[in-house]
Amino acid sequence: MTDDSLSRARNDRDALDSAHLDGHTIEELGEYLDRGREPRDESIETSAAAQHALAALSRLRSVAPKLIEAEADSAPVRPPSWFKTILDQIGVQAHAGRDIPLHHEDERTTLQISEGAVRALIRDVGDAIDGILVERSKLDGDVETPGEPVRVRIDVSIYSTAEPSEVLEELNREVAAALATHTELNVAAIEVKVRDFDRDPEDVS
Amino acid sequence: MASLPGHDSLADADDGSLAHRAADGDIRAFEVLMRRYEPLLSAYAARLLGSYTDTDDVVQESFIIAWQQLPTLHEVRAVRRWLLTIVTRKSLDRLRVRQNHDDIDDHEVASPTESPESAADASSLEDALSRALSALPEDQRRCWVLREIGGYGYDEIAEQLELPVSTVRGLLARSRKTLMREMEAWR
Repeated sequence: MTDDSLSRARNDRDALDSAHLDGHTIEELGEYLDRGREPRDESIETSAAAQHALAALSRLRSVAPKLIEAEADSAPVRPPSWFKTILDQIGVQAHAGRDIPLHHEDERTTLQISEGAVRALIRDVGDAIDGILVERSKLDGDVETPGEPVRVRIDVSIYSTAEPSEVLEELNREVAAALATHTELNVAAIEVKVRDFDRDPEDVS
Repeated sequence: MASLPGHDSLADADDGSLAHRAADGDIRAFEVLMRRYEPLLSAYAARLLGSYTDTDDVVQESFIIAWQQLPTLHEVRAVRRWLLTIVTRKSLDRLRVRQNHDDIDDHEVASPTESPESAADASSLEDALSRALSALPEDQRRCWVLREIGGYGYDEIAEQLELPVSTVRGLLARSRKTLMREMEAWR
């Protein structure tokens, strides 16, 4: 450290003492900043020394997120095995949902497909179509009783380069075909909703 | 996955899409979210815990909890905030266990830089503050990180660390003074 920066540091140290902050303390100024400088404190707002300290406190605050991000960026990259440990654990607790019965010629044999597997099927159908991303789906109705009508609700996002009416029609058609092939659900309707945070910011549940 | 125009994989999807996919049961989407946020969560946990071993455990446990709780997450745009909250909770649980066992001798202080040289040798302001943060006493560092990175209020910090609010105020003020001096010295 140079003599100049040392003396500057020493001056700054003094500047942080209450004797040089027109009677205010860093504790008080920090809390004032935390409150969004409300209610307005004239004695702070009109003190040059307090203003100087407030500016430094603000600067420190604005650097804080960058500090942790810089540390994150410089950390060694985790090996794939680190993630695999977690994935192995969550794989056994996938969100399977209800069991949907499948008919079998032999009455003594029961076959079923999980709700989670049907949702995965719907995602796969979407993944095979360019320009659309199936985010999630829901089977509304009594799927556990054969023949009961079920409404399939699908939330998607559409990439800006895709033609919405085309990809939505294709998704609808392909999902209907896949469900008819792999399940015995009595699909009463397929409702596809396009997620649009900008237009519909509250509807994210 | 099909090649989407300009988006060849889930890696390009936004947090909200990934959170929905993961809640729907897509493990691949969850993996993308994990890779996206693991460095930040680990850096944050290391600052709270001061130990690499504990950081590893806490972040892994946090991801497992996140997977379990994803179907109940309503504000999917706030994934980052939500993950930080889980990591905070798990980190503080871990600290309480550690305090109860009183075995604080066997953990190393997490410092992303090798030497506690003065701020003047740092290559950037972030680097200088990073060193100064490492040099702070643990309780000061923890309060500052919870306040400035975690975004917690004084009362919440006091409750989580089981300290009087007045103590938290004092610790925050001292940590801020030290870091402000480093910051000014570096300029």
